[in-house]
Amino acid sequence: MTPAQRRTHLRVWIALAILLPIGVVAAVLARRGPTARPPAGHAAPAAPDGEAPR
Amino acid sequence: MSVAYRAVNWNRHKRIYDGVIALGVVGYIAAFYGAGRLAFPRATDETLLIRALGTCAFVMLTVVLCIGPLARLDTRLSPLLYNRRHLGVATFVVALAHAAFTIFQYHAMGDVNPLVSLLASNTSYGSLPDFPFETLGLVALVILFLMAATSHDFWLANVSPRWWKTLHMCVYGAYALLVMHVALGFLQQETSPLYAWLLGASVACVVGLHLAAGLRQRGRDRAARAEPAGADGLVDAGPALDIPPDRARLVCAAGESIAVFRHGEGGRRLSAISNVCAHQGGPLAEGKVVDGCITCPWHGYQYLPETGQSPPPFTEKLKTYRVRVERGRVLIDPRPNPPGTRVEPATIEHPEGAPTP
Repeated sequence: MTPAQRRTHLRVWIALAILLPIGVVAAVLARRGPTARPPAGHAAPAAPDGEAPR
Repeated sequence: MSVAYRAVNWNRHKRIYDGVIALGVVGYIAAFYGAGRLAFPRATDETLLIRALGTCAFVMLTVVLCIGPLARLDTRLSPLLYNRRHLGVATFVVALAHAAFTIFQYHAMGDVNPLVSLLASNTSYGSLPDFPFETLGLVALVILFLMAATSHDFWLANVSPRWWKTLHMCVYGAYALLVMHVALGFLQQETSPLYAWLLGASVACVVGLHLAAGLRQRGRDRAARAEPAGADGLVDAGPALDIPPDRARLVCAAGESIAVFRHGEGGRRLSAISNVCAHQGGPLAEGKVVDGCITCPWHGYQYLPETGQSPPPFTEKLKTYRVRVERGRVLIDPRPNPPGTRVEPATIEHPEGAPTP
């Protein structure tokens, strides 16, 4: 890499060093506990004609 | 390097490396399943398998991302860099298996198309704890797919090294997406602080190593910086005899990164070419002269010192620079010649070991 590319590289990692910990901490602080979210997929729309899901 | 197209240039080292990867993946999944079965007896087999594959892919991506800076910090780890692509493709395969099992388990049992269900069953993009984290994982998987599909040198040669490298730099974005995929998915359901600490350790490891390697390289670039002196615009690159035979000194001048190699019989000749390998931008100044050719420390691409061209039948070309020796010091013209331009090497008058008159 050229020095210019290395500088860009370093800036990207400095940005990630700031943003990633903020994202993880925000996600951890925002969580509501084990019952907050229904299991994925269970909220899928029901069949339009009222037919029972398979 | 290879002249003809070959899917994989197998050799003994690659076979051993791939064997270790395969054993590592199988061993990890088996250990995760066994430990999960003991710790969470009520967990279903499907859940344990999905989590084993997901965590395995995340650990593999963490390792892939750590190899680059580790090789920059300690050259003894460069062989890992040489074989990194296979680990990256294996990471995609494990991540794909995680995604496939997840979609099958949670989205394929209803009347709705599984992909539609994945993307439409949760649209709470404005809520942090209810964020549809699956979408983040899907985007990361698409990035990993593009990288795995274009990982062969065939694509590198056809889309140009610059665009190939730009595409493969998207792995940083994929990693960031996966960190948030885990933080907004798994960490929302599991309250043990252990998992948050493990995720934080991965982030600290990847980001810390990259920052350390980047800052160290910036220090090297600064140490190698030389300013043009005099009307002829030449830069003083230091004493010629301080460059070990068949090795190089890095010089940064006028925005150019230049590798000055000492080569030839008795180490009497000096040539300067671009420090940036035409393959993947590897640091040629950290390589050495093998069989008369400058050899990149990353993947072994080779160049003739006088012309910056790969030996026939290869066609890679690098910029060359005029160089001369005055009173034992190397002087370089930082204005580059077009790639592949022949420049007569400078001669060191009294190399080490030669009798002084």
